[in-house]
Amino acid sequence: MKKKILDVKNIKTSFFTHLGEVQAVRGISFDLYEGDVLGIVGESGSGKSVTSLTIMNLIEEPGRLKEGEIIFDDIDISKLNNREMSEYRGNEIAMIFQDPMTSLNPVYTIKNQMMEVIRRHTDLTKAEAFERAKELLDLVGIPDPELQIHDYPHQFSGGMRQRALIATAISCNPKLLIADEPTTALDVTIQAQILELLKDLQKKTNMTIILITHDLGVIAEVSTHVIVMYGGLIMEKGTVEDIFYRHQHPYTKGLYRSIPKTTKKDKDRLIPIEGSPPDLMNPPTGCPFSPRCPHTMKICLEKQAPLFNLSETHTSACWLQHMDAPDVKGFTKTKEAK
Amino acid sequence: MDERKPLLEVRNLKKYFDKSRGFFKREKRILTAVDGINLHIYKGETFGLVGESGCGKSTTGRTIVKLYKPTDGEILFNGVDLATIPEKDMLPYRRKIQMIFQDPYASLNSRMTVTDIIGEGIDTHKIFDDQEDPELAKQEKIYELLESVGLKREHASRYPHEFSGGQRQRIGIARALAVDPELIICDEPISALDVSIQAQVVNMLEDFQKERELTYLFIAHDLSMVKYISDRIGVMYIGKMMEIATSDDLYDKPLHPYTKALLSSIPVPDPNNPNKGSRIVLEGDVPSPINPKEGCRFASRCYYARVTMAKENYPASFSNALIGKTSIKTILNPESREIIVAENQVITDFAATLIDELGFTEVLVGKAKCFTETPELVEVRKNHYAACHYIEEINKDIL
Repeated sequence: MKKKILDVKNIKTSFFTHLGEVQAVRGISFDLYEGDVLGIVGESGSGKSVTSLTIMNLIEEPGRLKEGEIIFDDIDISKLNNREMSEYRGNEIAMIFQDPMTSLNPVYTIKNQMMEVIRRHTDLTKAEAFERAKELLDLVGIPDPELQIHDYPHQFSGGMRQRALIATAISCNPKLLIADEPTTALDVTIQAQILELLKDLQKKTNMTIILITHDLGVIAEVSTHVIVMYGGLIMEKGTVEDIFYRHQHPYTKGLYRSIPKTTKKDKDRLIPIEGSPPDLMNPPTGCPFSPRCPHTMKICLEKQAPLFNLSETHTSACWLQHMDAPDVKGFTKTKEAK
Repeated sequence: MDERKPLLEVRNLKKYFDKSRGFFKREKRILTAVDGINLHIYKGETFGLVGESGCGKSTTGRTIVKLYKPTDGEILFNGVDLATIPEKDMLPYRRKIQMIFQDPYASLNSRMTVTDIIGEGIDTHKIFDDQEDPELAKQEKIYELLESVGLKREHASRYPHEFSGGQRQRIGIARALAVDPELIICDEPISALDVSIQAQVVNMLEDFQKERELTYLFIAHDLSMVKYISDRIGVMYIGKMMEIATSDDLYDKPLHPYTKALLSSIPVPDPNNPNKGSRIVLEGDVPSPINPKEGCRFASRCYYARVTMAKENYPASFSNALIGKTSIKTILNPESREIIVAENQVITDFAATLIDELGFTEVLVGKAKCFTETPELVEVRKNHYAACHYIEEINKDIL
C-alpha cells in the first residue's frame, strides 16, 4: 500500500482586487500518493498555478485561501503561519518555476545560492554543504561542477539555470516537488533534456511530483496521473491512460482534438473549441465550460456537475455522466462519486 | 526544383548585426543571425520555418519584408529583387507582403481603435481612392474583414485592451488582410495563445488561404503545428538552413542529424507512444551565433561528428595523431583540474603532448570535415535538401 503524501480538500482561493473578487480556484480536491507524478493541465487562467501556490502557502495579498484543507503528513499546512510553514518549504515541499532567470538572484553565485538553501535547511557545515552542492550539480548533469559552481546565473544558459534550480530544489530531499511549467521557457531540445532529468531523478529518489503545464505532450511523457482544470475547477481526473485514451469530459475531448497529431499520416482538420475561457470575476453559475460546450443542457447552465466515478481511478465532472442524462455517443453514464 | 515558378525566392540571404565592443569597437563581434540561406516559396503554398530560439528564423522573416536591411543576398518577389530596390519603390511591395506578429498585446497600438488599426494600411496604400466615397468603402471593408475573422461590427470602435489574446490576433490578421496581400509572413502567430484558441486561428488562416490564394511563410517553434499547416518546411540552426523538404518527408524520413534530434524531442501526447524510449537527447546548448567558426554549425552537438581515438590504435605516437583534431569535450588535467583543451578547440602540439603524458588512453575528437568545412545545402532526394557532409553514410537505410 502506497503512502498518502498529500490530501487537498475543497480549496477555494480568491484574489480580492479593486475591481472585485477573482475566484481563481473554486473548490478542488485531490490526493497524492508517494511516487506519483501528477500532471495538472489547463489553459491560462484555469487556476493550475494558483493551486500550486496555495499548496505552498505562497498566496500573497490581495489573494487569500477562503476555505479548504491541505493535509500534508497528517498536518493541515494551510493553517500554518509563515514561520511554521518555512519548516516545510524546501525541506518537505520544494518548488521550481517557469522562468529560471527570475528565480535565481543575479548578484550571487550559484554556489552562494545553493549553499544558502542547504545550510538553512540542514545542519551541514560550510565545507559539507559545498560538497553537497557540487554533488547535486553533478547529479543534474552540469558539466564540471567544480568550476561552474562559482559562476553567476547570467553565465549559465537557460537549460543550465533550470538544472541548477532543480538541484537546489532537491537539495534537502523533499517528499514533494512542485514544478510549475518547468520547460515552457526552454527550447524543445533542452526541454527533452530537462524532462529526461526529472524522470531520472524521480526514479532514483521515488520523489512525488506535481507537474503543472499546458502541454499535453509533456504530461504524457512524465505523468502517472492527470488532473484537467478549467475555470478554477477540476473537469476530469484519472491515470494518464484514463485521460489520454478514455477521456470523457467534453473539455478534455475538445483539448485533445484541437492539437495536431504528428504521428498521424493523413491531415484531419483541427477541431477547435469555439469561444474563449470564462471571466473568473463573474464565473458562470453552472459548469464553466457550458458556454463553449457542444452538448450544453439546461442543468449545465444552472449547476456545476459533481464528479462522476467512471472507474476506481477515473472521475469526470459532466452532467452527461448522470443516470438521467440523455444518451450521447461517447459518454458513459454512471454513479456520482462520494 | 519543380517547374512551378516561385512567388518568393531568397538567395544567399545574410543578415549580420554588429555587436562589437570596446574602445572604438576594436573587439569585433559579428552576430550572424542569418548566414546565407536559400529558399523558395510557390504561390498558394505554406512554407514553414522552424528552429530553436536564436536560429535566425524571425530575422529571416523580418529581413524579407525589409524591416531589417539585408547584409547580402537577393530577395526575389515575382522576379523583382527587393534587396536592392530603393526604399521609395518599396511601397507597392509592402502592400503585397504583410506580416502577422507573435505577441497580440505588443503588436496593436493601444491608443488606436480597431477601425484605425485595420484602416491604416488602406489609407497608406490609397486602396479606395478611385471610389466615389473612399471613407464609406473603407468602413464597409473593415466591417467585412471583422466579420470574416469572427468578430462583430460593434467591435470596430473599441480599443485593443477590450479584447482577449485570441481576439487580438484576429484583429492582427484582419489588418494584414485589409490591403489584399499575396504573401503573409506569420511570425509565431499562435505561440502566445492557449491550445484551444490556437486551433481556431490556424483553421482561419487555412480558410483564408483557400479563399484568397494566399501564400504563407509560417515561422514557429511548435513543430507539430508547423507540420500540420505547412506544405514544405525548412529547418534552421544558428543562421544556416539545415534541411528543406515537404512536410511529410521531413517528418517521416528526416535526413539531417539535427532534424532527427529536433523531431524526436517533441513530447508526444500519447503515454504509450512506441518511440518513447528511443529519443535522441542532444547534449549541451545551442552555441553562440557571434563570430561562428568555419565548419558545420551543428558539429559541436552532433552525435555523428565525433569519434573516439584510442591510444592503442596509434602505436607510433598518440600525441602526433591528436594534433589538429577538435576536442569535443573540455579536457581537464585529472589532478590539478586545469583545462588542457576547451570544448570545440583545436588540440595544439603542446596540449597533445600533455594529454599523452598525463596518460589519457582515449580522447573524444570531432571529425575533421565537420569542424573545418561548412556543408552546402544540396538536393539529396527529389525536393529534399540537406546540409551535412555525411548525409549518405548516416542515412544508408533510407537513401
